Amino acid sequence: MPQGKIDVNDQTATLTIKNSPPIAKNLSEIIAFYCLLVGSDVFANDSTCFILQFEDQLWLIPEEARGAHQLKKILTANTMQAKETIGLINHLPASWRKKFLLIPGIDPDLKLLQPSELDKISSQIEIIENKSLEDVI
Amino acid sequence: MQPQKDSVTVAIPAHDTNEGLNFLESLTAGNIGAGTKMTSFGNTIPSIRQEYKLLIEKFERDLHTRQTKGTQPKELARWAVNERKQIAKKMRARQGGGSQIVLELRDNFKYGLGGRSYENLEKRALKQGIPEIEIPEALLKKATKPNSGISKAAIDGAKFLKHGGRVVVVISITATAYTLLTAPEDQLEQILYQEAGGIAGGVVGGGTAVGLCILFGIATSGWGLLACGVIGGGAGGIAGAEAGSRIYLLKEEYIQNSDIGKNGFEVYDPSKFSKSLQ
Repeated sequence: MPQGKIDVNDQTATLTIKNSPPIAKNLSEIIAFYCLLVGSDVFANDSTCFILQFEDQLWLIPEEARGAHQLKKILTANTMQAKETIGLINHLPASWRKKFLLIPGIDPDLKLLQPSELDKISSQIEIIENKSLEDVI
Repeated sequence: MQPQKDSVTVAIPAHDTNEGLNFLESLTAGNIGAGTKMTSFGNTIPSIRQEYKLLIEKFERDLHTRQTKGTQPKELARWAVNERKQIAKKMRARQGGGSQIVLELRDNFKYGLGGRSYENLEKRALKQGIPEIEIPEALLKKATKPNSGISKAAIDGAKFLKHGGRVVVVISITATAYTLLTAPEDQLEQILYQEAGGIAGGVVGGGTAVGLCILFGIATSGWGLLACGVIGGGAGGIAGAEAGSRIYLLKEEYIQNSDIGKNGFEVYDPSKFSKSLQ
């Protein structure tokens, strides 16, 4: 399980990453969010993660992070549907993944990223049109 | 020996010329195995994709039938998780032993002994803080969410493996044929054992390396995947050739210590024959 956690209530989200001070944001500041279905069970590299896009930063939240279950409930609320993008992607960039003995692993890590990092994956996402967030998480 | 103009000199791990030649011969044998395995991969992956699609469609129909019959949520989730596990296992088996072992090990490492069993997934869900009453629904959604299956990138990679694998085989066969044709007669048998071991090692090494590269997303299409197979095949070939050589030496030792080895012939003992009839 990733180190750190996300705490969410109706108004705010707080990201706590190991060895860093907590970062709090209002949910209204979320410009968009992505639900990425990564990899495939056939190749044993499947996972799910969320990207919360703010004006000045991205939050990468693996589905198995502490607090992600509460985040899912907030994201599936009606008020957030206009901002959602659900997509398939084969692999996340190596710098987004948990490391195993300094080697990039397979699963997503809990991370704070620069907004420009989204460019690494934007052309690789295969958007799923006919499913809602509640169907996939 | 002076290097020629426009030539490339590559260092190889060997103490002398003979050792160097043995190393290169192991690599070519390994690449015959790897090339064969990669060609097979290239042919298999598109058909795996097709079969996977059909199995998932059947799974969705069966799930709908069970939901309509009013199957209890936990029982439904358990069935769905197990079905998806079996489908993935079947598709992995189609990729060959090396890849299958890597992928099953990965699941056991991530989810615990038993891999993606309902019990293991349930434990993980509890650790994530999902209330116990919500777990069956959460696991059912996990089992039914879309994934890329065999993605377009894997299909593109398969084309490279199919054609590139054949090229690797042709180049390597030429080198191996030369080795066999020019080998001194008294060494030919041992070399055959080494070549056979190298080819077998190359099949395993090439398949495992391609599986690992796809798993980690190191190189999932094109030249990168081919390179993975060649490197893995080379490593497997060296290990396999060494194993082949050892098997040959063990066989020689056995023969030398047997009747044939000691006397040059085996003594006929009629009592052994009559005993075998009883």
